[in-house]
Amino acid sequence: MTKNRTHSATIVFIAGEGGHIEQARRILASFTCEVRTASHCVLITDSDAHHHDTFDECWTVETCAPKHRSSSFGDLFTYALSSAGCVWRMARHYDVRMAIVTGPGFALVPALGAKVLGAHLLVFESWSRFEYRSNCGKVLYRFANQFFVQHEQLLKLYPKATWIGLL
Amino acid sequence: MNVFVTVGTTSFNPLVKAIDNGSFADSALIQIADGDYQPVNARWFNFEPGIQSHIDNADVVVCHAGAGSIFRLLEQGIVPLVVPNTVRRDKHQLEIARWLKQKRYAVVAMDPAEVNQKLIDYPHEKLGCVAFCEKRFFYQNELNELVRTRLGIDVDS
Repeated sequence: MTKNRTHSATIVFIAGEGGHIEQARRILASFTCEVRTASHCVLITDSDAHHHDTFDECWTVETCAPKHRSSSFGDLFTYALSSAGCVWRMARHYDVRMAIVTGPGFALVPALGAKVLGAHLLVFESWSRFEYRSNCGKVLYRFANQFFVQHEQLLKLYPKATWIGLL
Repeated sequence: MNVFVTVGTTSFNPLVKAIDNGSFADSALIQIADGDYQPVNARWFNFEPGIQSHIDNADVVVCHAGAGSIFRLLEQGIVPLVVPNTVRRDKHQLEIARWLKQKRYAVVAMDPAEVNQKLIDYPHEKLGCVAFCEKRFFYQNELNELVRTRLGIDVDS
């Protein structure tokens, strides 16, 4: 199968609405001009808001975990479909070199998909976690090439993680 | 006292109701997100692209315990009155609320029912808070080096 890649050296940021996107923004803001210019940055999110001022492209994934009710079969189905669509899009048209995840749980499928496609997986545990691991962190800790925590006390829960301070 | 209330991107009806039925309703402006309780006494809106002007005009900012909202306020030197949203299915906002209380970075009401009393006590409780002084992101150089390697940017270029 010939891949019709239209973007090279892509970094995907996988971040949910609100604080998760804010963390992704801050990571991107820490890139040097040279690194930023050389990279095509795609945000995969569950937010309807537009973030084209910061990222080169934004893709939307349907959430699998509504905030005020339990997930239904329909939620899981639309999540699976939209996540698979993102992975397919990455595989067909992008040379994804790195995936940067700030959570929450919807990030699992796109992150693992990017990893399978050969991307280096960096996972940042949410800055709202101090005492307990997030579901996203629990799972991706096993698969991340590098795992970062923002609060030093989390090193007890993630012994192989790197403490990086608050984004 | 001008009160600005923000619930972030997730509805938090109990907080909105408590403010709307409390003694500060007349001077309150509430961002209710997609909440289905619409205040009758306080001014309100769902979402606005930028809420900084409301923050600047407020004497007290009441916010949910979303880390994005809280850190943005603390970085500006604002001591927020924080109320964790436990209406959400996941209760992780309790974690940051406990941390803020322990570190004394904010005034915290663990339950929306306490918020009006906390507003009365705010000027006094604020005096007991300390400046936000967490260790900030110090991994920029290593991260950029890692990205450079992965992108294949020539180190000598």
